[in-house]
Amino acid sequence: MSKRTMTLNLTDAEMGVLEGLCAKKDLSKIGVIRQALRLYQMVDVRLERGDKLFFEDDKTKDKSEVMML
Amino acid sequence: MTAYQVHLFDAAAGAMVEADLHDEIAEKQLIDWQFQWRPAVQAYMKRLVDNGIGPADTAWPQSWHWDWRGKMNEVRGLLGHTGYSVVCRDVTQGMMRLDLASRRARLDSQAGQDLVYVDYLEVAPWNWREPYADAPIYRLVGPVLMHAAITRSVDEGFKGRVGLHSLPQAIPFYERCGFTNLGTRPDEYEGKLPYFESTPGAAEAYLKGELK
Repeated sequence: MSKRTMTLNLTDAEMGVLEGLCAKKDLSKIGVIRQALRLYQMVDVRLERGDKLFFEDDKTKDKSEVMML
Repeated sequence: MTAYQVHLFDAAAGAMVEADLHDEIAEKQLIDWQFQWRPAVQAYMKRLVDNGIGPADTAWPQSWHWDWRGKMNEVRGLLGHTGYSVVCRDVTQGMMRLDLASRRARLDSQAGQDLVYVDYLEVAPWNWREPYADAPIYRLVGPVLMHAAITRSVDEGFKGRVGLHSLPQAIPFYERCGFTNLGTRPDEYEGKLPYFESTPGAAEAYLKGELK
């Protein structure tokens, strides 16, 4: 699989979040960004199909819709 | 597409044979499924019926209704899903669909970590080891695909973590793979399919061939 290289400039806050996720998820920076892109695309495709995105509280089963307009 | 050389066991010849592991499920695989797998499954189910075995029996193939073309159409173009296939002598011998992004590990030791989730894994019906089936033509198709799933997990930085829900007929296979059985949940697959997960240690043992 061929790969292409790009430079990514992040703010201190963005880099802080990225590094925090790397530590929490035990992933490299590119690993986190790759997962984020996969999930972002999946959400976008599902929303375009007309699906809705919800978070559900595992205990109470309360659902809150994530509004993406 | 990349092809990797792997080896299957040719039962008739009693010897290992070369095969290709492809990091995709292409149209060729779907044609093989449609025109070779499906008729073979139908013939096998006819044999079961002739022996008094019906859909409620444990011997009934639990993946008989899987529509691989539909399953691949569901995820076409999505970065978070991919497929693998095993081809030997120009015929598809097994297929697997993976979810790389939307599932998280459940074992206490790795809860919340990313993993490779096996959506579906199936071997061609002439390779099944089932009571009423003919002797399998090729063995090791399932292990080759599981090796690919674990290797992908390592390559993704997931340390070999793999998760899946198993059909009841496949439970002994995943136990042999060294996966931990976390049991069923009533809100998943009608509480019928147990969830299995590998740890980095189990994955390493599998890749080293310590588990069969």
